[in-house]
Amino acid sequence: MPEISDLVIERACSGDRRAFDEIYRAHSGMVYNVAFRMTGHLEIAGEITQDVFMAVFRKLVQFRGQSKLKTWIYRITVNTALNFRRKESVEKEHLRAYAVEKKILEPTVASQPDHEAFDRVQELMMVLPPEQRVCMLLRSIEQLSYQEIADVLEININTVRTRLKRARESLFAKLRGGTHEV
Amino acid sequence: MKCDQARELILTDAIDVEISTEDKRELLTHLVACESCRLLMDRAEADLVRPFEQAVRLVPPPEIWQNIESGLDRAALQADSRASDAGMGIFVRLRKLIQQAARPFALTIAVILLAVFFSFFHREPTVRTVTRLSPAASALMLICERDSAFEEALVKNIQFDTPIEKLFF
Repeated sequence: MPEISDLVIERACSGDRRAFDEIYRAHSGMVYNVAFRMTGHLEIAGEITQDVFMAVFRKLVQFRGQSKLKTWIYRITVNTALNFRRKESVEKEHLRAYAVEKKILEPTVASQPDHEAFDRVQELMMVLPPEQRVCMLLRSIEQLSYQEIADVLEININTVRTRLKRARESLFAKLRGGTHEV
Repeated sequence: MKCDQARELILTDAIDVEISTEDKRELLTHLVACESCRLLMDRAEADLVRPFEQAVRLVPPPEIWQNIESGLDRAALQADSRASDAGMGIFVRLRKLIQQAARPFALTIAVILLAVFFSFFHREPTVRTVTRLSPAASALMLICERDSAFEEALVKNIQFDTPIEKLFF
């Protein structure tokens, strides 16, 4: 991921579309992949990517350079994806309750993710609760250090460690056929 | 080092290469002696590290940037509109405000004017009082002032049409 210079950030702040395009090209892959790994849906990942860059464009003037631009964009991405999931799950729950009540849906039918991009890793990721999934994603796929993950999520580094340990125990349990014994 | 401590390190710092030199030395010593922890280390690397490192990286489709550009264009238009509103003079803003506020007022005035207009043209005609005499009556009055006998003879035989003539003659 190429490092974006302060000059490019300043130009983007003043509305320079080419500078903003440079920021997009440097970070869109990361944003899109994080959004997909968090949600399991390509279409939703696209929507989240758009929302993230619109937010980056709006808030870029507030970016003070105290953290790296990459960390700042990761934070916006993770928060947007988590909020999207929360909003989606509430809406889906209402719709599902309505559909079941009206006998349009069977109570057990669940929404299916995109199979074309749904690999073994994604299958494992979807087993985890969101707070563990995001730690696994940032560490094992995005290769962020513990300190960087703590900065993105604004949590203690030991919390990162604990979440990773629990996530891996759950994944071992899934791989070994349902038992939590590692 | 006990197995619990070793397993915790294996599932976190060891496979994530965040382990301190001292912990690494202790863990290696433990792994030499403990086969189950050595097996766990191998499994963790095979199942929880390598597949994630080799996970497919998706490329965002070009429509995403096109949608973002459209969004940025819309945002720029809105910003221009807000800026022009903020930049225009007090008189222009006042005129806009009056234009907006005056609409109901102007409508009320128009309705009142229409009501007055129609009431004016539809009111009952007033009775016109006659103050002028016809030429014949005026001539007769002049004659009568001079000759009272002639007056009496005429008054008996002349037909008067106007109300005032009928009143006086």
